[in-house]
Amino acid sequence: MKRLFQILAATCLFAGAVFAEDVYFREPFTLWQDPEILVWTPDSAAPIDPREFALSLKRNNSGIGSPSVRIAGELERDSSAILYAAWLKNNLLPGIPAELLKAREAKMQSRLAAIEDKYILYMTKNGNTLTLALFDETSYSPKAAGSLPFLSDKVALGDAIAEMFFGGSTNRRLTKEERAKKAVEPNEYYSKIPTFRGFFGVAGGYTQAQIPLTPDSWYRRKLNSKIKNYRNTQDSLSLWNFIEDSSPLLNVYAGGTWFDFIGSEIFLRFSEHDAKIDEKDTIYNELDYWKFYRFEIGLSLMLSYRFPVHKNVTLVPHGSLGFIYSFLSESIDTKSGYKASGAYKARIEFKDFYKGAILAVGMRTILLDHYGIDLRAGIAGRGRILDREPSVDAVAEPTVIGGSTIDCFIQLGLEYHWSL
Amino acid sequence: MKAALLLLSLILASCASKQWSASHPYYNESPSAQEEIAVLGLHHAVVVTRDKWFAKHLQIPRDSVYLLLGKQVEEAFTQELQSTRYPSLSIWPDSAYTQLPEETQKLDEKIYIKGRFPAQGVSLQSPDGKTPEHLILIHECTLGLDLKKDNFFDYTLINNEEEAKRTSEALTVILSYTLWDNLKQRALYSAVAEVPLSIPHDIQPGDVSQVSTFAADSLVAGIDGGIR
Repeated sequence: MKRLFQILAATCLFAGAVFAEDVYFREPFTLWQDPEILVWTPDSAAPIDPREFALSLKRNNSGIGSPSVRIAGELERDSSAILYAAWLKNNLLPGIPAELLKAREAKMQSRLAAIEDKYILYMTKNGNTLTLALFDETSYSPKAAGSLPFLSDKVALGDAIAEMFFGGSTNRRLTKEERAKKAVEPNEYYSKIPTFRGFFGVAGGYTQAQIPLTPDSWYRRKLNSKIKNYRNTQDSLSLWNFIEDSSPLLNVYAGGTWFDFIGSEIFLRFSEHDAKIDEKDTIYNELDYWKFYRFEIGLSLMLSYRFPVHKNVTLVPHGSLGFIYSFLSESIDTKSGYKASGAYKARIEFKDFYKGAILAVGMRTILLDHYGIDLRAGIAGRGRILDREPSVDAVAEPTVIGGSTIDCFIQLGLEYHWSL
Repeated sequence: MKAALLLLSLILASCASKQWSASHPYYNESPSAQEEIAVLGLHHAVVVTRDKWFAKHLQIPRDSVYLLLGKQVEEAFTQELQSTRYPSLSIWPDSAYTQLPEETQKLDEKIYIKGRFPAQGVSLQSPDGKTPEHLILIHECTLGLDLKKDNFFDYTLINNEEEAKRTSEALTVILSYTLWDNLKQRALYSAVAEVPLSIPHDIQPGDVSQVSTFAADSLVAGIDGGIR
């Protein structure tokens, strides 16, 4: 029981010591691996032991590597640094913002600018507290400042200081060449090479002729039409007079975006459409199956925008407009034992290919920077492009079958993303 | 169209309220009346604009406008400081101010004053060896007609073309100053003041002294009112 009380008391004391730590401010700064720290104090002797402090740093932050700590003799011998140190002793107080603690003397400023990737840890004893400020090369004012109760135990004091300022993730120190390169490197907005992100994916979906929320009457005539006797059907520009419009859809695609805004995508779409035969016609008794595979390849221009909603989740709404080439591949056979009639040999024939356009909008969710789920919907149309003047007896010419075929689609894709 | 643009810019300007002074977080107590406080840089700071107008209306030769009016401003200003607030005010020679390094101090996002401030870590001493607790640094003191402090200190307006028509409705002093803690070397209070004195019936002989007195009053009020 007595032992328990001792532990409790020790815990309370420890908690008190932790709470007595007072960080005045702490601006973000880069914490380097294997840092070099110069301990600088205007007092007669440094309150911590450099070697013990290096060990405290290692204990406190395992990612810090092997830090080296030494007394900043060059600052202790410099008259402008002495004046600034004396000034800081008077002025490093809670509630004073960093900008009011700026070193104003030009010589001191050049000393701070020249410390490269080292840190200067200023510390001074004021009564029973130790006041601290941490400088790096990026600013003439301290990056972090605070105070903690003074302890004569140098190891415990070193531990407390290490915990106060040197926690968190670390970065590898740059070599001399890398630093020189970094110093002249343009920032990302001036970079000559735009950010490129690539992706590829496989999507499954569904396609049909009727666009949702449009009246049935637009489609009724086409959808109800059937092929009679292999070729006898209503004359029409739309393929949907001859083949089934609704079908599962497979889409394989790959693309990329530049500047996280403008992009391009190539794709291959595949769907399967049965011919709409009139079952009442006895001539079809000989037929086993008759269907068309539709292949569409295309290239689209894509505009998108990235919303990083979470560290691991990015939403990318996008819209695209592209052109497609549409091919239909016929697959037909008679039942075994049936001999194909003459009508079978003379069937409707579609064009070799159709040109068209595709318009889509969608939203992709990118998880963990690489894995995307994409939902998109759109409209595609294939047409006949009149590349010559209609001849005088154009009226007498038969209509181009499938000259204007429109359908809509919805698809869900799984994607992989990467960036260069 | 031009009028609409002007109106729009006026509305925008009026929306953005500017901060014309800055207090140090540890400025809790203004200097006491008994304190031996020193004024630096007043002679160096005084500038008289529109000398032609002053020469014409006060009937003095143009080349002595600055000498006469500058002296009037300085005398009235220091006298007012001494009589109202700091009886043991000491005025330091200009050299004490002009040798200090020149810096800018930020009052607001758009407003910076330029002036000379004592170095960090050393207290300034008067020629006779005294170290006052506080110093009043006068950075700029401009006497003119209908001056607007925005045109002097708001850097977004610095490139504005001056209005073609010059008016003379008020005598103005634009004053920028700092109360300096000489022991801890920090700016306790810095401000820009615009002190007008309206002169509806032409300028009277005592008006320059009068407006300088007002400027001194505004400085005293600013320093006393700037406490956190």
